[in-house]
Amino acid sequence: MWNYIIRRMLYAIPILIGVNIITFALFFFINSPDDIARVHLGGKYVTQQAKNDWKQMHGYHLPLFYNGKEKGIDSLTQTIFFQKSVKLFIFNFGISDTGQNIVKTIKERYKPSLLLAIPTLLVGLAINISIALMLAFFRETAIDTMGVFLCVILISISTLFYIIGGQFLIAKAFQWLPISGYAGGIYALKFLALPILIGIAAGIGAESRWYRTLFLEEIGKDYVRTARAKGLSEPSILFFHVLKNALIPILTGIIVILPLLFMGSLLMESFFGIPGLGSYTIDAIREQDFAVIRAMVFLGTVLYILGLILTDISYVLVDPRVRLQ
Amino acid sequence: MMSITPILYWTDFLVYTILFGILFFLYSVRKKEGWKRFIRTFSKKPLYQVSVVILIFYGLVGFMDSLHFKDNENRQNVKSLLDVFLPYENLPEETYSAPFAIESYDPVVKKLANGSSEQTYARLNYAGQHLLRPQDKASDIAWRSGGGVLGGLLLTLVFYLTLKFICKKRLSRTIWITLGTLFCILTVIYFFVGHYHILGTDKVGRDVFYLSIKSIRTGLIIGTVTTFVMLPFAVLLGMGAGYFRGWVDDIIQYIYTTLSSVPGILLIAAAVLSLQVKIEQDPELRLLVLCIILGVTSWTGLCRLVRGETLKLREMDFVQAAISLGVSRSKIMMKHILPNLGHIIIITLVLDFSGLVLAEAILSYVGVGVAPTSYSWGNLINASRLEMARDPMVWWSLLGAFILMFVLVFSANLFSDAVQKALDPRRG
Repeated sequence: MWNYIIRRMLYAIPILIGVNIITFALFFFINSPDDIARVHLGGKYVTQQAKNDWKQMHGYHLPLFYNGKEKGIDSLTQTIFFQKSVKLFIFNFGISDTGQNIVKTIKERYKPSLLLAIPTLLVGLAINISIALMLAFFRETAIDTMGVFLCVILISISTLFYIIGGQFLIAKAFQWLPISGYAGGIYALKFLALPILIGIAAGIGAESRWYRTLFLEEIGKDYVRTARAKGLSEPSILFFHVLKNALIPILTGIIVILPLLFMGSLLMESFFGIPGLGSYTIDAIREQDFAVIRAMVFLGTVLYILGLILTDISYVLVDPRVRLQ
Repeated sequence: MMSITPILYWTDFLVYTILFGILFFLYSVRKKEGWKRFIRTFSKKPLYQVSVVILIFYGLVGFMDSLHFKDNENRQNVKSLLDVFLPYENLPEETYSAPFAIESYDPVVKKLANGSSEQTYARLNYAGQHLLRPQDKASDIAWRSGGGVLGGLLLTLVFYLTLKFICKKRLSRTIWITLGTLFCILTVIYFFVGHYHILGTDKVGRDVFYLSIKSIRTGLIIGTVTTFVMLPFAVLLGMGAGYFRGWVDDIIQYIYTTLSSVPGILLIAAAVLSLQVKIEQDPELRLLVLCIILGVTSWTGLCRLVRGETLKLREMDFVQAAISLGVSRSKIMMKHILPNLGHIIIITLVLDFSGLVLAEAILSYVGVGVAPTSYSWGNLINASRLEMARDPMVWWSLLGAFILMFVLVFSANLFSDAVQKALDPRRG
């Protein structure tokens, strides 16, 4: 087991190197440091002097791979590749193009993201599993057909409309909750309630339908037939046999995204003005802050790989048939 | 007689290619067993038939909007065939106006002769100009809708008789109801075009209905061109990895694991931003590049499926027999493996379509979507999001984007459901 985990972590290294090479190529080959400087200084008519100053200030003045001016090891470290790309591996994200320390900002901003993402996930999970169980219980009846049809309708609505519609109805028309904003401490609840609610509503269609399929697959299996032949009632089969077994794919599917919750939700946070990592990322994209985007790409990849490893481990824990080697 | 010069954008060319490809594909499979199962699935559920009719309709609008030409007298602006039927580009108002309004939405303050001021509503530049008195509006709208419905029914009847007497084809009742409704909607719209703004106007006075209809082409291009960009990557690499195994498999697996490890939207954003400098001039080029980026970042899922299936197929008796008979590798792959991957590929393409249409809106919101000057639902939503804070609220831009997007995505979802039912051996 430990052997396996360590090996998986070692596998992650070439993937992270690959991701770094992709982002490096995108940001420094296709887009030259001159282009970055020009975008940040705004407009087309920027003097070369201004660009050079900006590059000097943000460390983009160094050569890409090899610095002939420095001696010894410095000829490799005093380069854009080392400063901007290799340093990501020790989670040294440096400063953003607007001058803030990225690691410090991340430490400040991850809490609101988690406060929004975790309740959305957990409450949503409970609701969706209940709906799916109900649909599976009424399978091949009008209730099931209508339910699935409703799910398809819900899937076909863009998340943007859930957000806009929810903001309009609950915050503007009825004025139950504030339309957007954030405050620390207990007041956060007031501001987080609406995005959590909308996040759950936006997920119901896709997830209930998916869980329903998992339940139906499980119901078709032999042990269910045995249980039925034994004389168990339909509800007890559903709750004690099917639910337990169908939870395995549901939970392992959730574990992949657990670490990624840290990154926050781009849309929710920016619409509701929540100062989390999602809105940080979206602001960086809009302001073309390449340093922050690079850091976020790296962080997102690390968290995703972590999620994959956790998924494998969880398989071993819940399913005795799985052995890792 | 007006003389015109046709214009061909790269995106137009791809639209024609894809349309031709789809038609050719349908022609070549018309006698296959899968196709028959397909027809059977559709004949059972009326809802599936409705979805097909609507998708074809969207496709036609998108195609009409892809036939671009330049007017020789007025050389600057490029028009599409759709603009001929919806001549709203030359009918701008000053600013917001409500659906079917003939007066401006916001009051205009007018200075009176005695020094006091008065709030009045100005008549619009174009909408309702044919009305002699503003009071006639209600009866005029009623006449036009009535005439439109009647025209639609007449059109359906003509279509029905033509089909009946010329090619003796029979279509189901559901299809006729859908067609009739669509024809009625079309003729009603036709009676209103140029006289009213059906969905009002936006901040700079452009007709919202026109904007949302023009967005169909963008949505369809994102949904189809992207999947056709990713198709060769996914199929060739997936088949190669599954067939050759060994180090080829290792490399291909490494590539797709790396690409799929980056959270999708960040990778897309990074790619669009780094190409920003090169593509900011030309909206059509930007659309094409966006499709390519979406394709390159999203082929990994299908590649993984194709690889797994190829690994399985490779061990099947018929492939093993072909190998031992000395059939060349490329021939085995083309003749024996590829045809057996067909259902996976089609299911994935159809499934991805609706997701891509939805993704376009989100990407435009984030700021890495199509050009801000392009017609797209994402841009429409993005612009009207700010209008939500206004009082009284401007809701019609959102309504236009919502209806057209929802109908397309909903039909696509139903259609993909039907395709899965017909082709997936595990369902059915």
